[in-house]
Amino acid sequence: MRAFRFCRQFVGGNMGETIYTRVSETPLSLDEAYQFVASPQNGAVNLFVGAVRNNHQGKNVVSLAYDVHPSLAEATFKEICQEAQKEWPGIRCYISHFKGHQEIGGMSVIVAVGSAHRAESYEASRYMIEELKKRAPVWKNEVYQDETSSWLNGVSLCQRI
Amino acid sequence: MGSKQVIVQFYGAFRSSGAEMVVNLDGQNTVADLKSSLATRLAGQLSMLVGDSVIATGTRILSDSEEITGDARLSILPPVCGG
Repeated sequence: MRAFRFCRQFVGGNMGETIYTRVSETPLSLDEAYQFVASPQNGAVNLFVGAVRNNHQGKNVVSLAYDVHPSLAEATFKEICQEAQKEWPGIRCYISHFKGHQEIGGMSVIVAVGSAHRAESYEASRYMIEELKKRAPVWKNEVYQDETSSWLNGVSLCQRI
Repeated sequence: MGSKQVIVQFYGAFRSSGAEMVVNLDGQNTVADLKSSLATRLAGQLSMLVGDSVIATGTRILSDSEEITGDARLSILPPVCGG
């Protein structure tokens, strides 16, 4: 019962919602993700977490800053969730991406899927994170031990128009 | 067609040139014209990055052939790498 009380508050009182996406400038919450995708019909919950690691291509990374176009990112997250639900009907989808400065080990993204069985939760989760990486307007600026920083290369959105 | 003022907000690597750039366009202009103008005004590697970037409104990505009909607030989005 506790879970459902939380969920009602979380989605603005609409338990019919099966997709939740957001860009967050505060620390991401695994509990929030779990509570949203869990439901009595679901026997599986898959939580994927992207975290900041301390190295990249031989360089010591001390922190990472995420730049995000908020409205387009949320629209892209929703689109990806809708595609996943079309492919795996009945799943509940949650995507939350961090915006701002994050220390090593901090959570950058949570992709959560609730489904009747484990197979579709794994498959949908994998689809969602892979699409997010290719399509969502998010950029990473790595800060190194020598106090230099670098924007990481990415995937051009030119082919999406 | 009169002159138009387009404010282009920067993201990712473009932020090294500031938060935004004001571009004044005259006549009939497309998104491709705006990108061309940005490429001219941005220095070095950022100029080259414009070709791999897209122009967007707050809700959608614009194709290079779309016309800019008036004053606008747009964004330039370099290649993405979320997650």
